[in-house]
Amino acid sequence: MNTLPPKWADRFLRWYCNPDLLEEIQGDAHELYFERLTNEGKRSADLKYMWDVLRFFRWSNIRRRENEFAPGSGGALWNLNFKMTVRSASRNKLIFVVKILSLSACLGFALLLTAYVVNELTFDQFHVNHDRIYRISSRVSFQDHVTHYAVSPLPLGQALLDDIPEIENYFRFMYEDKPIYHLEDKIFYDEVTLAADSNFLNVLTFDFLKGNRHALTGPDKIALTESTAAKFFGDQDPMGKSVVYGQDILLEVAAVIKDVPANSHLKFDALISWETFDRNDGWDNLNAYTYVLLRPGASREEVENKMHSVLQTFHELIVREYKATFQVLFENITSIHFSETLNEDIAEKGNKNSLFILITVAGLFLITGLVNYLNLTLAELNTSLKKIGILRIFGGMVQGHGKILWAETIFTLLIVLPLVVLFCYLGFQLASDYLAIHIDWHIVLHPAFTAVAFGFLAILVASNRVNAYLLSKTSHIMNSLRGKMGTGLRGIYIGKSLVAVQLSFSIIMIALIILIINQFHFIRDANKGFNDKNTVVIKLRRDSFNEVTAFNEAVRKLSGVAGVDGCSYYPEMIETKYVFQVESETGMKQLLVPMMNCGYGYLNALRINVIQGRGFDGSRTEDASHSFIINETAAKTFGWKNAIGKKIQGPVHGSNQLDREGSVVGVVKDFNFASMHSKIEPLIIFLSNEGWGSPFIYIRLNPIRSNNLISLIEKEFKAQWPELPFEWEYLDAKYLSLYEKDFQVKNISEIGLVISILISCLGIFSISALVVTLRTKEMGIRKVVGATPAQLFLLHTKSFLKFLIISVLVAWPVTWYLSDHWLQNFAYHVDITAWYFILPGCIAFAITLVMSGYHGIKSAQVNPVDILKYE
Amino acid sequence: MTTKGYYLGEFEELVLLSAASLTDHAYGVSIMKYIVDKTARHVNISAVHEVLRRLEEKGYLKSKMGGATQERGGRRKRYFVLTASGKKTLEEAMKLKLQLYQGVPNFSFKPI
Repeated sequence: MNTLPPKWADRFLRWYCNPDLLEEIQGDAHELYFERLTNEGKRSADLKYMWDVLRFFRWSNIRRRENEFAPGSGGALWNLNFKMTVRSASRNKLIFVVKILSLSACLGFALLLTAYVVNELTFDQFHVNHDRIYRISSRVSFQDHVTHYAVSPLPLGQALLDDIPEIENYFRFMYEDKPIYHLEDKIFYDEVTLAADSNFLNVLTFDFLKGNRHALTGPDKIALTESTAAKFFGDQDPMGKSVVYGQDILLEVAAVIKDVPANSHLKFDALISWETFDRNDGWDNLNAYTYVLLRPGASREEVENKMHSVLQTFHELIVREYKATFQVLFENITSIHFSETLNEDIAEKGNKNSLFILITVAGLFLITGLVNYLNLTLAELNTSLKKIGILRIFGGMVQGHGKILWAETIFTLLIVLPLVVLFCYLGFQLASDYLAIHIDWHIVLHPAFTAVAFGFLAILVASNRVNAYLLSKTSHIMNSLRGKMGTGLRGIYIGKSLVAVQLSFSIIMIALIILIINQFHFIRDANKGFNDKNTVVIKLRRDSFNEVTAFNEAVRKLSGVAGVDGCSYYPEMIETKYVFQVESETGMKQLLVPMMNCGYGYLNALRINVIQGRGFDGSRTEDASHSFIINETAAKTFGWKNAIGKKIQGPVHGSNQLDREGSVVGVVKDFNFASMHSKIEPLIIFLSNEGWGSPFIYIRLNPIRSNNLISLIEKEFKAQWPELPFEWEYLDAKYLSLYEKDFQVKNISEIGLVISILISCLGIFSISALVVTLRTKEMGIRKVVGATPAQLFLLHTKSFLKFLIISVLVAWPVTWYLSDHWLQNFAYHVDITAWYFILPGCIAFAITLVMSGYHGIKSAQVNPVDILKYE
Repeated sequence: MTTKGYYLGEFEELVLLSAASLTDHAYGVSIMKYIVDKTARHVNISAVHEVLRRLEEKGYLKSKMGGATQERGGRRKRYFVLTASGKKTLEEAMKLKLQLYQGVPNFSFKPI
């Protein structure tokens, strides 16, 4: 009979127990075991032995007390470890610098991306009750058209509060279209201003520097953000001071709040109290942004179900008056940022697709940084295997050289961490200066951000431990002493496949960048249907028809001006849709169509081509109120083969009041006024008059003109409107600014491209250096038996090209997926062609050839005598 | 190492007293058996080891390894001996208990 305790339990005890305590513990346990064996039998003794072993498994028995004599342990010897690390770093300066820089660059860049992504994903979560705050949007269905507005009728909020018990509070605000502030002799007009209910500050969470949540109670109050207050009043205390808004409204500063956080979908500079303005408070005024706060525990579905009865009377009204149906939808405040842009939406919108790409890129950067670090460490360790082997033979303990690696990790981190902080700091600065990406610093405190940062450090440390473990294997060390490098070569395979990962990453990046750049050229050079070069747009804060006409006349006389006229539309604006009645085979049909009104000279000033019929003609009196021009898409939508002479009535006001009636006199080529993200919609154009003002004046300038033309225009402007600010922009610049978010992605990925190519270059370079050192002897022998340098070169590079092919094959599907994903943001985009796959592959091939070729040539040129005499 | 100050826990006192009683034969298993014998409690060997180590760190016991043995695979035993301060602590603990005992009024012990 087997009279020994269960083997595995004994092994377990030996494994965890501090060697210093093992003898007495194991002795006592065995003594008890043998006693029980005789008294109680094998089974019981075995069980009790296991139980004892488990009970001995406690920290005081596991903990190893420092063995002062083991190499590399104990206080004093730590110094030695660090000394060794510093020495090995200074011996391989190039490798060390490469290692440190690539690690910190990757980590820094990945953290920056993480910060951006976290910022995007945490939109509006700073409001204490963010999970209970909902924005109410209205969906208006009119015939086949469904229009989703971010705004809702003014009385809606109060009606909901009265009738639905689950709603605890609400607030609404209006967007002030063209704010002007007068302060003594100064004028300000750039401040985003909202006219908000007093509850605005109660429901949402903003930090107050001065004043409190009741600041917006009562009329004629204004709350400013910190930077606006500084702009208005400098160092003075703004509280209680007054400021004139618009023509003659005297406002009192009642609060100063901290600047709106970067991750708020609402961005504003000033809040004016709601009661300041007299408004049409009826249900037909669909202009307020309404938000409700639900009671804790109330579900959104419940509330939505009760909506119908509340809205009953309103429904009847709207069906009767407008023949439309109306529906309200609830949108949680945190999801507004990523939801689709609604009509009249003023929320800052994000793009989940771009974000997805950025997350991928950040992840790849983390991997790349780690891979490079590990490769280089492995390369170094392989060269120091002999040293470790000798240490081992002279009685060094396993944890001894584990500690050498610890010292190295700590040393690396001590240099890398400050560098990463520096990179991040510079990155934040650069991002806000050049890329217009504003991220609040406190985002670094967000759990997701810290998780990534610490996760990376943990992986770094863990990989270091794995290295230590591999090295502690006796066979490994004995082989190295015997001069066999077999185990080293196995490490090389891991290293090489890691490099292949990097290479795929670079290929993907190159492909994406080519695509992005192509798409931008496409947008910039695309035929928008009008000419935006040499065109200046002046924004007016008043659009009196006579004043605009007088100003146009004055400007037209200036030399260097090729055309001028006003228009109601401006690229960043949300297009306004109106109900029109258009001729169809079955009589007049009501449709909701985007419209635009402009002056006579507008189509000509923007070089919009009339492809059928004629443009507006100042000499024909009927044009002023009876002529329409439509675009090609409109003709298609209305089902008109020959559009000229077809009847249009509208826009329709209230109950069937027609603004004008007339017929189509011309069809213009489609022109894309919105960004390429959206499709061209049908458009009806008619002439401006007193009722339909055109607050944007487009001036076409001759390419050859005097430099002071703008100031001449400004002089005319000041003569006409001395009290208004002269705000102007070049149309092409304005147009490009519509792609600001896409530009951000482009800029970030360009930087990413450079870094990723650099890193994969370094990766291949270092791993091929490692291969060369490990195969030195082999190369020497091959040469002696007659290999030519060309064969040796091929032998060296061939092994890398194999990995190149694998990485290309991995990269292609990913590239395709990501490009396709990104292009879906654009209604008009370039096509993915084979070049996006072939070209990056070629570039990667070149990188591999050059980077590994350097060492290939070096190894091909060796003198075998130098290598082989070594033994 | 955490020490619970310089007073004795109940189990610590038991172990210390047992170690003192066993004089030259006090090691893990013998102490455990002694306690089991005297108190009929269930005691695990690992708990005894833990307390012995703590008492040694407090300076109430000192230990040395004995010679090679026959019965437990040749493994040596760690023998524990009471130190002067251990002895003093035991005496003080005893004295304190006596004092407290004597402070109890007589009628408390009368049968009800």
